[in-house]
Amino acid sequence: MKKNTEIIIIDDVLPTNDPLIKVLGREGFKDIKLFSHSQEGIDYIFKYIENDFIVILDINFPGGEKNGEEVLAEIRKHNKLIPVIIWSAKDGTEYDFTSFINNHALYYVKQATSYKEILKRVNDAFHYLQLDIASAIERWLNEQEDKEQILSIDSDGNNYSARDLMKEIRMQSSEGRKIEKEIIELTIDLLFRERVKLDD
Amino acid sequence: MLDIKVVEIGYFLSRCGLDEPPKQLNVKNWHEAYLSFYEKLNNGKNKKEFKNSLKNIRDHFDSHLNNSRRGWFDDNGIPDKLPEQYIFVKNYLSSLSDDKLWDYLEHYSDNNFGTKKRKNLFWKFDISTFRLLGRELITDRITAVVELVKNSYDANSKNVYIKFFNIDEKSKAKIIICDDGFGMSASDIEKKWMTIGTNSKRENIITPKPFYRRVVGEKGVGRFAIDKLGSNCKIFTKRKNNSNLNILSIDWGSYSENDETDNFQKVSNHFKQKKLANKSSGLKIVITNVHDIWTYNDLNRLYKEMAKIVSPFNSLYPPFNIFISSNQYDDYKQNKLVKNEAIKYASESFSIDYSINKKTQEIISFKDNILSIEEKPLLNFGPVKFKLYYFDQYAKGNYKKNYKGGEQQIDGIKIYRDGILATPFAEHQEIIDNKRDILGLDKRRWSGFFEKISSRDVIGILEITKEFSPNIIDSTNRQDFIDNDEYRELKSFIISQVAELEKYLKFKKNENYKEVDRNLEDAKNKLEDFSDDIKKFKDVLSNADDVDITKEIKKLENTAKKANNALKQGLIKQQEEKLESERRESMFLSLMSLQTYALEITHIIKTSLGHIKRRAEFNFDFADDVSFKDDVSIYNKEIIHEIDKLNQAIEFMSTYTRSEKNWEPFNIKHSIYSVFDGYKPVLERENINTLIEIQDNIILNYNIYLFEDIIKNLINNSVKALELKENKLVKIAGYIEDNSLVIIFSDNGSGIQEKYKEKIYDIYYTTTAEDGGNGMGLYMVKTNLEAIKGHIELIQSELDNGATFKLTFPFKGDNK
Repeated sequence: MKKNTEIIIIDDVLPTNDPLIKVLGREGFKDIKLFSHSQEGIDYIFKYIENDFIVILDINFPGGEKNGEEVLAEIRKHNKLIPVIIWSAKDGTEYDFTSFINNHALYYVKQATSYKEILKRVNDAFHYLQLDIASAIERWLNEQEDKEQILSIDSDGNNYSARDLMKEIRMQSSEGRKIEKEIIELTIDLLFRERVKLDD
Repeated sequence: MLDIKVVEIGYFLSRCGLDEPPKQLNVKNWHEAYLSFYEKLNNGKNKKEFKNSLKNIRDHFDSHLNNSRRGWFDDNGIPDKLPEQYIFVKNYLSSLSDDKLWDYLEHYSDNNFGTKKRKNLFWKFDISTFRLLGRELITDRITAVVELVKNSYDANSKNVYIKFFNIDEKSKAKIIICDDGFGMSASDIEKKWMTIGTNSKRENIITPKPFYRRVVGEKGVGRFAIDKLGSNCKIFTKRKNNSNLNILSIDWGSYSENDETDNFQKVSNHFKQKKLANKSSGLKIVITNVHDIWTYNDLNRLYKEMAKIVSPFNSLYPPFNIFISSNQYDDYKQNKLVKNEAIKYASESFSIDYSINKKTQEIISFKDNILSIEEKPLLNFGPVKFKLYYFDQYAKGNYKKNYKGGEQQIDGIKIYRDGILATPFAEHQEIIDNKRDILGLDKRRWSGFFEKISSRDVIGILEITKEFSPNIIDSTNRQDFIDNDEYRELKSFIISQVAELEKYLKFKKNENYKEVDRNLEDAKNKLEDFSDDIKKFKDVLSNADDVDITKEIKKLENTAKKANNALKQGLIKQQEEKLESERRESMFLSLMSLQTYALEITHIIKTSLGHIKRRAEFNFDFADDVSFKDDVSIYNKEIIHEIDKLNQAIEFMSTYTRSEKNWEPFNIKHSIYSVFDGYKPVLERENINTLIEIQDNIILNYNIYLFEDIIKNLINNSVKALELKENKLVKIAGYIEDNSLVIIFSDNGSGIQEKYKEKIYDIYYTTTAEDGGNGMGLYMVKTNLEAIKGHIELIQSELDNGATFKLTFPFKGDNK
């Protein structure tokens, strides 16, 4: 599973051979990408928006580049669900994290703490990702042949493919939230009416 | 070893004297001839010893020269062998004619001048040394004129005229300085004026009655000043009871700069005398071949400096007036009397005195919301009079309006000794921020308080006397006093007095706020009255038949005027407040950027610690893991490298913590040269040529360590960029532009690729990691400069290839 999740590190000073990258690889995350320019990171994420990402984001970027706060806000314009871990030398004594919290940063890790801390957070993020319905659909879709097949028709007669649904869920639009809620309710209903069984 | 001069005199006596002594000496007998040289050359001998020694030398030469005396011969009739020193003297003097020989030696005799009316005088010192010394002492032409005027003061002049003719065209220009002082006699000219550092002035520290002035040109440097102004000079001078007008012509231009070995005493100065049957006295210096043109602004500058020479405290009696005139500039067409006009515009002032009888010193103190004067025992630096004038924005504006370019004259506290400016020694600075702040008034502002007075808000006159403050001593460069306990205490006394004024100003400012409120309140009331009146007026109009309407209208007008005035007052006060607060804000900004800078450094260190920690942790966890063997060893190296970076950052930060102390003016040129000197071994090893062109006398008020660090960073980068190049060159130029110091730093190395141009200032950005580059350099330079609102930019390379950086250091801005 882990090998399908990409770790995106956006940090201007991290060398490519940093121990963090080594230990993440050792944890089973094989697909790690390091971007030292914030815009490059954003562009990559948008290009492959349907992939599963965990983002490790620095705050400080050189003048002229988007800083961490702006990067997160930008990501959130297209995807409300990607887990983003803030990893920075800055701390609460010198930095206001309001904007990060409001944009749903998942964790904050001090740059100078043990890399075990960040490994733990990345693993947490991975589990969070597993619970994300959009990711689940994604995984399911990957196994299907016809990815554009129509899954549902709403009351106004609009057609939705699986891909459309994923997009709405990721944007957490009212439609997306409604679908999410319905999927959960349907799942629970199916489970408790014993129409389906949990795998052991 | 005999004094070579004595040998030369011996030669002269032998060659020019026959039975009688040489006629040039104008003496009756040989005894007098020997002794006429005694005063200058005795070298501790008594008269008898001196006479015998000189006679002995003469006799030695007699046997080798064709004169009537025989001299010393041995038994075989062969002249005694001359000692080597004698042969040497004989060789170089034999080529001179008798006249020339006498010209050369004349000034060693007491009987100078004699009856001659025309002759050449020689400088009594080495010309190149003289000029070098002159340039150190007289750094600019304003100072040069100040020096000459001080000489006039010392000569008991009542009036000095400084006249400029055709001063906008060098070839026709003439500068004349003339006074009505006691003038110089022929022997004064020769013995004092043309000899460096004669102590005649120091012996007589008080000038003759009825002036009793304290001599101010103590070190006798006034004459260097002429050289600064122009290369040709004629001096006319006359003493009161002497009918001779002495005329000396000097042509500095004929002393060639390059001819250093040979110029000693070779070039003569033309001297003549004329009879002039009147009782006048004085001195007139006419300078031609003027070095620089003087613009209207230059004359204004001169005027302002002159205005500072005599303390406005002591109205001297007999008076000392300075006049400036020029045939070209309207303001100066009449002789313009120099007056200190600044102080009448001041918005606040205080004045304190002392009493020698009571042994008390007045001090100012802010108590119960007023500035009051208290009496205290005398302080260790001696009694002082102190007058301080403070100018707020409004007073400054007023002053400026009435006195063109006047802002410059509000320039801090000066110390006068016995009525004459002592120090800083009439220092002229185009840029007021570069002035020496010897009392440390402005340094306090950096310590971060907005209510502090700066030297540009005050004119202060502190009077000391030589008699009662003997331990306040001018330093040799005359830009400060010698650092001792008394001077330190004097400084802290001045600052403490300024601080009392600051307290008062702060109190007044709060009062001002209240007054604004009151005024506005008042205006409101007046306007209410006004509307009442209008209402009444309306009522009156409705019964118009029996009332005097004009009377009511008048009343109305008055109310309106009052309301208007009250509003105006309120507005003026508000505007003043606004100006003041803008100034504070801009001060605050520069302090903020220092804090931002500190945060940046903290960030560097934290990031660096993170790097180290992860590597150390990894090595700890996987030291035994064969699959990570290579990584572990790489990380070990990186840890060491990272720690070096950290060290550098910390070292750098400590220069910043020292900065408060080192925030002082320094000479850019000296500093840059000293950095390059330090790099000499590296530059030589790498075969790098350097070209350094820094404008003279730029003084920057900045931290010298930080400045030098910036230069070092740039050199380091260039050394790396030049590694693979041939004909390596590093070029640095410095000059003033738009109130900033600009440094252009170039190399002809590998240059910076377009895509990296934005990146080069980032922390840890480096393209030279393999060569030990750690990417701290330009980041440091940039943040460092930003902290003082300067900047660094990469500009079009001025060499064929390579990189050119432009660095801008703003002089502490006029925060208006």
